[in-house]
Amino acid sequence: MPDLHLLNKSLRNITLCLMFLVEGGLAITAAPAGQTGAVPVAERGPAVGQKIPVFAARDQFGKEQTLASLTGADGLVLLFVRSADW
Amino acid sequence: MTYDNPEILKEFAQRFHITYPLLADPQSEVIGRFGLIDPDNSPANLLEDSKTGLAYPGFFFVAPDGTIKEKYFGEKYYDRFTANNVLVKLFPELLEVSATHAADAHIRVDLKQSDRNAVIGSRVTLAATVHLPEGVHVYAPGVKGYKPVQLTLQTEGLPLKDSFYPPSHPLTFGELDETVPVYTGAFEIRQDVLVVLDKNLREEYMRFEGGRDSGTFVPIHGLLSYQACTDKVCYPPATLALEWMVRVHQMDNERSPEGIRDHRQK
Repeated sequence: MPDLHLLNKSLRNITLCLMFLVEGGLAITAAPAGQTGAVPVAERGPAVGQKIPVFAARDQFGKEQTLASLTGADGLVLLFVRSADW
Repeated sequence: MTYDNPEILKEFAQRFHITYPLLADPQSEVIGRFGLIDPDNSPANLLEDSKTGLAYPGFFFVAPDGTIKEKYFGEKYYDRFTANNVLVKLFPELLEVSATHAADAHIRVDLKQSDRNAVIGSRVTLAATVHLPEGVHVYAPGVKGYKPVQLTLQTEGLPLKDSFYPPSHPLTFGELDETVPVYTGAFEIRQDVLVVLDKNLREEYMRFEGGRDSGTFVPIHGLLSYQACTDKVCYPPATLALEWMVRVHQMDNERSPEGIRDHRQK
């Protein structure tokens, strides 16, 4: 991990939400050739400069969270992961 | 945020002592609103009994008003930015010097990396911070007629991703009436590399039976080629051997208890 003092300095007022999760269970295999329907990387989610959709979701403590409840004074890091189960 | 139900996230958070919010989107409703549903439901992409509506994995850095300032998504599900990688992209000063460094007569190089530990499928940032003595310059990419500084990795199966060379500055030789792009002082070259399961690593991992392991040290070798000059003399082109070490871990294979798992609708 980076130096904690520097980390705290740089991350001041930013909420780091949903950090890295470990995902296992699936063997790593290449996607089948000719697979269709994959969304190009640049088109996954809203673009830089756009606003994220309004959302509300419950966390592991049962609390409903929104952008307003999650963000720090300088922003929020929001991570989407595939699954915490498998 | 994941498409798991809240019970799965609660159990997962307890198992890994996670206290930051894990958000449940069991209907993939928010994931859909973000435009992040992965349509590939083939067995190569998700377990056959798992429900559909997976999210493409990736990060958003969002301002308090909801404006996206940066986003980081990999091509495949086994191409994922580590949290540290995202942090050092947002704050490069957080890159810390590794145990190793290299030097020769004209330059000294500190080696840095976003992660010393990474699971398979992680995208890790490696960096070389070059320190030049007073009065010495090296040539930057794009130079004509001189050898530009270049970082090359011999990764043997570890795919290379984004590379970064900092902006150079122009240097004019009055006598030659020539202006060239150079670096002086200290500058940093960064290169992302993807830790994937190649044949050699696979053999290592077959020794583990799942769960968290102690990891395998994987050296990543690189060459820094450059030509150092002063305003009076140019030294012969030189190459410096570099080595980073990443401890690569198997992914966690432990699933949630059967009673709380989500299953695909038949």
